[in-house]
Amino acid sequence: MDFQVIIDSMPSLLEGMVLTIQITFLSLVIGFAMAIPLALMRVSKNPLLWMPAYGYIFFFRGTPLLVQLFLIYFGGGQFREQLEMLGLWVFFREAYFCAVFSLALNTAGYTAEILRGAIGAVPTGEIEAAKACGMHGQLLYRRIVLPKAFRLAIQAYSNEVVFLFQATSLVSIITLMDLTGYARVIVARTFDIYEIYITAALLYLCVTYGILYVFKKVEHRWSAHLRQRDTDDVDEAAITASMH
Amino acid sequence: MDTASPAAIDVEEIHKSFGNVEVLKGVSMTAHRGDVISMLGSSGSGKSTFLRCLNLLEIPNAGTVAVNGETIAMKTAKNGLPEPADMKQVARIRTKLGMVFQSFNLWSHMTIMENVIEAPVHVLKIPRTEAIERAEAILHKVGMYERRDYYPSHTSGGQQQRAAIARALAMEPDVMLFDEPTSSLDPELVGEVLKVIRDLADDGATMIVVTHEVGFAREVSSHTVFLHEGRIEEQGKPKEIFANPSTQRFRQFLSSNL
Ligand SMILES: Nc1ncnc2c1ncn2[C@@H]1O[C@H](COP(=O)(O)OP(=O)(O)OP(=O)(O)O)[C@@H](O)[C@H]1O
Ligand SMILES: [Mg+2]
Repeated sequence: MDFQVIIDSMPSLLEGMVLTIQITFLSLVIGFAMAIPLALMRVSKNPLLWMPAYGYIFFFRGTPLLVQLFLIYFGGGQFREQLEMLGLWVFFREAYFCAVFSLALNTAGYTAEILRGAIGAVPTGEIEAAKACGMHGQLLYRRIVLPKAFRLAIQAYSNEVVFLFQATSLVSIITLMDLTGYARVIVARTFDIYEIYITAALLYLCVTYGILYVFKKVEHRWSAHLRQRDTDDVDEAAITASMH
Repeated sequence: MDTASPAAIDVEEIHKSFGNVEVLKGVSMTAHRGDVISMLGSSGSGKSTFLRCLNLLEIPNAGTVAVNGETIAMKTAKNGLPEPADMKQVARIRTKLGMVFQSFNLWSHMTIMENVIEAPVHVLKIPRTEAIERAEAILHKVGMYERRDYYPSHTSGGQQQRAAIARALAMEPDVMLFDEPTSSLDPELVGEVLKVIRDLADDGATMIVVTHEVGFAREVSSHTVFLHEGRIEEQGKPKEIFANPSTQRFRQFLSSNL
C-alpha cells in the first residue's frame, strides 16, 4: 500500500466528494418536493390523479437509474432543436443538470412510493378524530396525516437517501467529476487501483455513516412517544388527589 | 330543558346501508340543551353507525341532521348516493359536535396538551396562549393536568379517555357524542371516566352517550333510547322504562345486561 499516493490524491478526491454531496443534496430536495404531491395524487380516489402518479412511480421504479440517466443526457441531445426552441437546451446540454434532473426524478418515484405506504398506515381512528374536530382537506394533511406519515416513513426514507448518495457515482459516466469521477481519472493516470478505490470507498462510507447518524437523531426525536418515559417527574400522589 | 330555541341536535329518519345491508332503518332523535340521552342496544344494533352519521363520519343514505337549527346540506353524487353539499359546512358543524371514541384515538405523536390545543389553535384559530390556558382548565377538570406533557402511550387507558374527553371539550362543542367511552377499559378504570362524564352532565352539557353501562344510563341520562336492529325499539325517561320495559326485547336486553 502506497500511502503517498493516497495523500497526494486526497485534495482531488475531496473535491469530488463536494460535487457528490452537492448532487445528492439537490436531487433529494427536488425529489422530496416532488414526492409529496405525487404521493398525495397516488392515494387519491380520482383516476385523473392517481393514474398518472401510478404510471410515474411504476416507470421510475421499474427501470434502471443508469438507463434513465442516459435517456436524459444522450436523449436530450436527440431533441436538441426542440429543446432549443423551448429554451431548455442550456440545461440539457449540461451534464450537471442532467445528473441532478434524473436523480431527482428517480428518487421522487421511490420516495412517493414510501410516502404512499406510510400515508396508508396512518391509523384511521386518528384521522377520524381529526375530522371530528373539524379538520379537513389541506389542514388535515398538513397537521395530522403527513406528520404521522413522515414518522412512519423515516426509516425507509433513510435507506433511500443512502441509496441515492451511492447511486450518484453513476454520474461519472456522463463526464462529471464527482468522487468516483476523480478516482477513475487518478487511477487511469497512476494505476494505483487499490489505494485510490479503497480511499474512495472509505470516503463514501464516512458520509454514509454521517447520513445514517443524522437520521437516527431525527428518528429518536420523533419517537419519544414509542419509548419508555425517561424521567418520571410527576408526583403520583398529586395526581390521585387532583382526581377526587 | 329549553324548548324555545332550536334543538341542540335534531335528527330525522336516518337510514344507513352498507352494501345491501340496511343497518339503520329510520332513526330520529332530538336533544335539547342540557339533555343527556343514553343509547343502549346489543352489539351490531347500529349504535356506533348512528353516532357516526351525526357528524358525517358515516354518510347517511337518507335523513337529515340539524345542529342548532342548521341542517347539514346534502346533494346527490354521480353514483346516486347522497354526499355533503359543502365540506366546509360539515367541518364547521363538526366543531360543534365533540366526539369521544371507544378507542380514544388520541394523536399518538403529540403530548396530551398538544392533543387538546391542536384543533382550537388550527381549526378555531384561537391564539396559542389562550388555547393553552383553556386547555389547562379543562385538563384540571378531567384530572389530567399533571399528565399534560405525557404522550398518550405513557398513560393508562382511563387517562387517555379522559384526555380524549378534554380534547373534545376544548372545542366548546354544543353537543358531546360518546361512543362506548368505557368499553375498551379495564374494569377498574371505568369509574374514573364515568365520573368525568357524570360531572359534565351535572354541569348541564348536552350529550348523547352510547353505552353498555346500564346503571350509568339509568342514573345520569334524562332520556334513554334502546336501539334494536337499526330501529328505536323503546325509549323514554330512564326511571320509567327501566322499571317498566314495554317491549320484550328491551326486557331481555336489561336482564342480560345487569
Ligand atoms: N364500515 C362498515 N362496512 C360494513 N358494515 C359495517 C360497517 N360499519 C358497521 N357495519 C355493520 O353495521 C352493523 C352495525 O354496526 P355498529 O358498529 O353500528 O354496531 P354497534 O351497535 O355500535 O355495535 P357494538 O356494540 O358492537 O359497538 C354491524 O352489523 C356491522 O357489521
Ligand atoms: Mg359500536
